[in-house]
Amino acid sequence: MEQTLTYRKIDDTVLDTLTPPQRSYWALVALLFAGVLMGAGCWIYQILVGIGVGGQNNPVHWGTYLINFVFWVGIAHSGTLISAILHLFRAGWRNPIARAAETMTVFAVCTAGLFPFIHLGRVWLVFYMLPIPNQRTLWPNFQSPLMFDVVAISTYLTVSSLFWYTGMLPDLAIIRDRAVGVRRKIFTVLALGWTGEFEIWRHYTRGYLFFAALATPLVISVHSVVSWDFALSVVPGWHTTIFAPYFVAGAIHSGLAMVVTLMIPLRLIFKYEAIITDRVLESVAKTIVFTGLIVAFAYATEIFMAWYSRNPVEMETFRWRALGDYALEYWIMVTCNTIIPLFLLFKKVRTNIRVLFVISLLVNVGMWYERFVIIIGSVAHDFLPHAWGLYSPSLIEFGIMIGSFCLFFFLFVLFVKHMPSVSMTEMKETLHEGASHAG
Amino acid sequence: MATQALTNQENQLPLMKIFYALAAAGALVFIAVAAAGNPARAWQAYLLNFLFFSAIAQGAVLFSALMHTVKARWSGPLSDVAESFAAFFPVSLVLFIILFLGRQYVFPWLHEDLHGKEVWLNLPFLFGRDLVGLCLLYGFGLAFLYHRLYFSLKARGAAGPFGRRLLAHWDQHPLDEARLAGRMTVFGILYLLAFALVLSLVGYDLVMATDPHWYSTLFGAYTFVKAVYIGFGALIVLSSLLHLSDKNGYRVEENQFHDVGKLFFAFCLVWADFFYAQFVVIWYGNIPEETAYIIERTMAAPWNVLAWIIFVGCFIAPFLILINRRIKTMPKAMVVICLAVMTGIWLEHFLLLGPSFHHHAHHIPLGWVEAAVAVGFFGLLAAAVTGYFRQFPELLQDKKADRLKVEGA
Repeated sequence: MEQTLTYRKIDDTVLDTLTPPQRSYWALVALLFAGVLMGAGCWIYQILVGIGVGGQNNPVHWGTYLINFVFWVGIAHSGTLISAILHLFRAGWRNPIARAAETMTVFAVCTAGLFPFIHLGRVWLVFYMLPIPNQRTLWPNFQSPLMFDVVAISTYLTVSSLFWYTGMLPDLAIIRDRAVGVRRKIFTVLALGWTGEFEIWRHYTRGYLFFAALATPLVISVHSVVSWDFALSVVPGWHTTIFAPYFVAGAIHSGLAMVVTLMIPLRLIFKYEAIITDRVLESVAKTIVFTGLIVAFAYATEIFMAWYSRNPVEMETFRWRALGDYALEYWIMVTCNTIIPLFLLFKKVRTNIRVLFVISLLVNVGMWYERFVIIIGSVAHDFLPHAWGLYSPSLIEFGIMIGSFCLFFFLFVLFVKHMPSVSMTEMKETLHEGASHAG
Repeated sequence: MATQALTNQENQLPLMKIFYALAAAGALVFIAVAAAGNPARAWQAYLLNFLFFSAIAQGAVLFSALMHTVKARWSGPLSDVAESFAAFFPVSLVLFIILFLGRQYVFPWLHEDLHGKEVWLNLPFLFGRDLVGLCLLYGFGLAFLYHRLYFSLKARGAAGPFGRRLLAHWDQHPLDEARLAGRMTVFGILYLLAFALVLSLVGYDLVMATDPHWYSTLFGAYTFVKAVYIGFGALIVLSSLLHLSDKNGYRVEENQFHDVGKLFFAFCLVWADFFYAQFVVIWYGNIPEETAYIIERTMAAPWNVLAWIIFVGCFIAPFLILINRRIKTMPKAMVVICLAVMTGIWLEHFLLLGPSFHHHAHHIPLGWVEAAVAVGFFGLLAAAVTGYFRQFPELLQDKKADRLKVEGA
């Protein structure tokens, strides 16, 4: 399929997506924005009334806010996997979806970054987190994993935004060259004076490669740090050494599923079939099988090790996970994350776009429940039976959660209609097979 | 240089003899120490070297299975060399069975009260499951290799005795090539899966359980990542030596060295990451029954010195050196680096096992017994690999048609 593409056809296909949108597009934007407003309203209500309007209470202090935080950080990860790690691996199939995946990363990190704020009782005092000399004798505890998190997430946001923008430069120049009026002025600024000279290309390709090389360890460290928010404690079910790699794999698992969820409608609406080919989606599907296997390995190892340890608290934690009050959530997690992706081993399943779309949605659901099982389950049922207790989210929490999904899709929908959602530059590189700029 | 003679028939026999002699010398030392003086030390050295050299072979073969599974197009000659390590699989299996004789000395938990862990930690079950696991792993590996050889030999012809017999067999019983290619992929994937599961099992049973009260969920994954690290290291060493030798036609392109060097570099990071992911969680959590294992091995004398040597040799030094792009394309430099890393991982095996066997040691109990047994095991591995190339010398001849094209056709 890709052989029939030409430079001009790539440009035309991508630039056609930037024509003034129809009314249905604005209706969708308005709907999503309403969702964002609803979420913001819930948050304002929480600020006015107090954090108690959420369902968090003893012993479960971390509810959906932390679940959503980890969920969105996880979604962010596969963007970097696709744009950076697969770039280093010279996997050509990542080129058509790299831009959209990296965009997903940036917006998902932004969404994730809101949740620690939402979780604060007095959000206006958030500057206490900053290491500023002050009369309050307050100083952030840099030994706390939560402080590690602040540093990790903000670094990740910075690097992935820069990587995303750097990758977009040549494409912005293409749009600038074809645009007129105000648009031309805007894109002239955005393109940072790109001329396409040899020297500029040379710096660009080296810079892009270095970004990829820097983003790769970063993506692993960020989700490792997120996992250590839990693993560095001594709570049974949290304190386990496998958490860092397991969280990284899980994050990529959910992110790949989200890529499929976004790409299938995108290619349908924007008629990207010649660019985002079936082969591309199939490759993502195969990668989902791989990450699903790692996640399955981690689930099995945790249970085995709890049993092997003969430690009564560990054994009870995992028995209760599978058979206790949250058994339904646990089995949703296991089924959606490990069993259902195995169907993608069959070529017929992974080449059927509708089935693939449904599976990607189910993996997303499963990965949300994974965070639920880990975050809620462990503290709800830890050492002291006297301190056991259950948790369920309140309506306000649901409101904020729906708002976060709306915010993510709102930003994404705005992006795809105003910026090139496929990297024209990298698609052209794909035409020269083997001549990728990954040195 | 020993490997220069690999394809040279006249020189090859002495080379085999040297390797056999090394193996025999190692075996003699082992038997002498086991029979006369210190059987515990001999068997513990045996376990250490069994784990180390088997991991090399398992990790190197993984390279080929992995490259085939992900449809890599750059790895042709490197895969050929990686597959040669599969010749050690049968030897490794026999060595594992022999380990049963030393069971008294390598399982410190045998006479301990295990508080219910006897269900998992008992000799018949342990040997049974590990033997089945290794049989599966090696079975998948050899089945994968058989299919690979089919396409290699069909394309290049067979010059060695075993290769000719295989080719004659295939000529008599023609096979459906499309089905064969499909089966090869299946066996490759099965090998990858078995690699993760079986090496985890071996890690839990033969290494982690030497301290039966300690456990770490990442230990299995850490074990197989380590095997990949040293397996790739061994692959780089062997292919570099073959490439540098002018006695054969085996050549590796500069960019291929660069790519495999990058992979080695990546696994250097993964190894350090998996080490640190365990270390930081246990250190920070500071739960007595967990943290004692770490303190004993990394902070308390005499083992802490060894721990630092390993960390510098396997992570800090290779990380700083391999950041350099050019060094990865220089086979001679890579041989030195990879050998240093492999030595580091050998010591790391010793660090994990040692404190469980030598409580309250005042100095690191590492000496000529461990080294001699290592030489013996090296002899066996080298003889197996040399023997493989003697059977299939065409793999070291000038590169012919790209195998992937043959398979695709």
